[in-house]
Amino acid sequence: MPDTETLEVDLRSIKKKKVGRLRREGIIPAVIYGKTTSSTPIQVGYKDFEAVYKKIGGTSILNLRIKGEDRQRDTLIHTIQRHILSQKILHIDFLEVDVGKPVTVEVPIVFKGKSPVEEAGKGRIGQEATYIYVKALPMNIPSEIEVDVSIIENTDQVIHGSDLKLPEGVTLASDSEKDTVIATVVLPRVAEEVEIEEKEEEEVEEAEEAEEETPEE
Amino acid sequence: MLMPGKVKYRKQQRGRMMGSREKGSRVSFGRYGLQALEPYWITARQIESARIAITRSVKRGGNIWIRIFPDKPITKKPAETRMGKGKGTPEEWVAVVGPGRILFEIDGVTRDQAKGAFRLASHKLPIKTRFVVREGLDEAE
Repeated sequence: MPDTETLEVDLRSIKKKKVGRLRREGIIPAVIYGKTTSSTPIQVGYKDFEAVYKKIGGTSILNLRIKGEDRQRDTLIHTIQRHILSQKILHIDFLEVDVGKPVTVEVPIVFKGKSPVEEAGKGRIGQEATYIYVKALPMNIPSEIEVDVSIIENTDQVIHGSDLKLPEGVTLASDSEKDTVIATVVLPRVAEEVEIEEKEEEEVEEAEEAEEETPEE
Repeated sequence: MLMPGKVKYRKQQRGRMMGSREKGSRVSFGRYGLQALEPYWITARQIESARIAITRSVKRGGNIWIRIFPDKPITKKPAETRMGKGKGTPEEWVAVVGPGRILFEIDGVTRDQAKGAFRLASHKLPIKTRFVVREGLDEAE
């Protein structure tokens, strides 16, 4: 079971386009919502959140304590918006959950082992999906799902969502996830294709050289 | 070289390239990507040149995706022509690229191979670029 951490946050009065001011002060604007709770704007210190996020990752329960409130809220980090260039966190969505009820979350997929196909040099294993949706009680959500690719012995073999070995208490979120392609064998590019391409390039280069050599009339 | 097969209008106005681009800013197909850090018009020749550099670097093996397409026609007036007499004729095709845009993606090669290939490709491009890893896979390495 993953660890749980507690994070102290404040209620946020600065909203909409003015939140840029908060970001300049090292504070991340965030929001907390859930099935039974209405949306509440909050703010959290950048360094405080980063330290906690490094420890627990994206799939563990995080206890949020809003200053001035008596109770703690069990939440999951639902979405993190980042700046596309600096990768700094711009906004966080916390999803308040009931610890006794199952939730649907996205869990990263990690490949383990080496396929005999890869070892024989017949092709390589291509990772078609990096995440998969699973349903589990908040405390049982795995931090990642390991996929043993050594079971792929032929080039036409495929690992689907239904082939995954999920931990106890964890199921796939829907039937469509069962058909999700997780891993396939990507065959090496045919040698002829590359040779033809190279020949074409050489021909172009030769033609260019010939043009340069031709004296101007 | 890349260019549209058929277009509705032969000539376009120049347009503006303000701000960063959210669209196409994530590595979506391969494992590694080359991200633009500046706004610029990338010509079809530059894209082709970079593609050849990547292909030759990784030789066989690996898949390459070109994430930009030159769909903007650029016109030019002939040399030593007086101003006026209408807009010039279409000369080349460019892709409008903003900061953050993923230009190329690659999969099926090691991190070092990908980095090396993109380094060569970046020399063929007129902008600053950065090597990026697909979201969710960067922590696994």
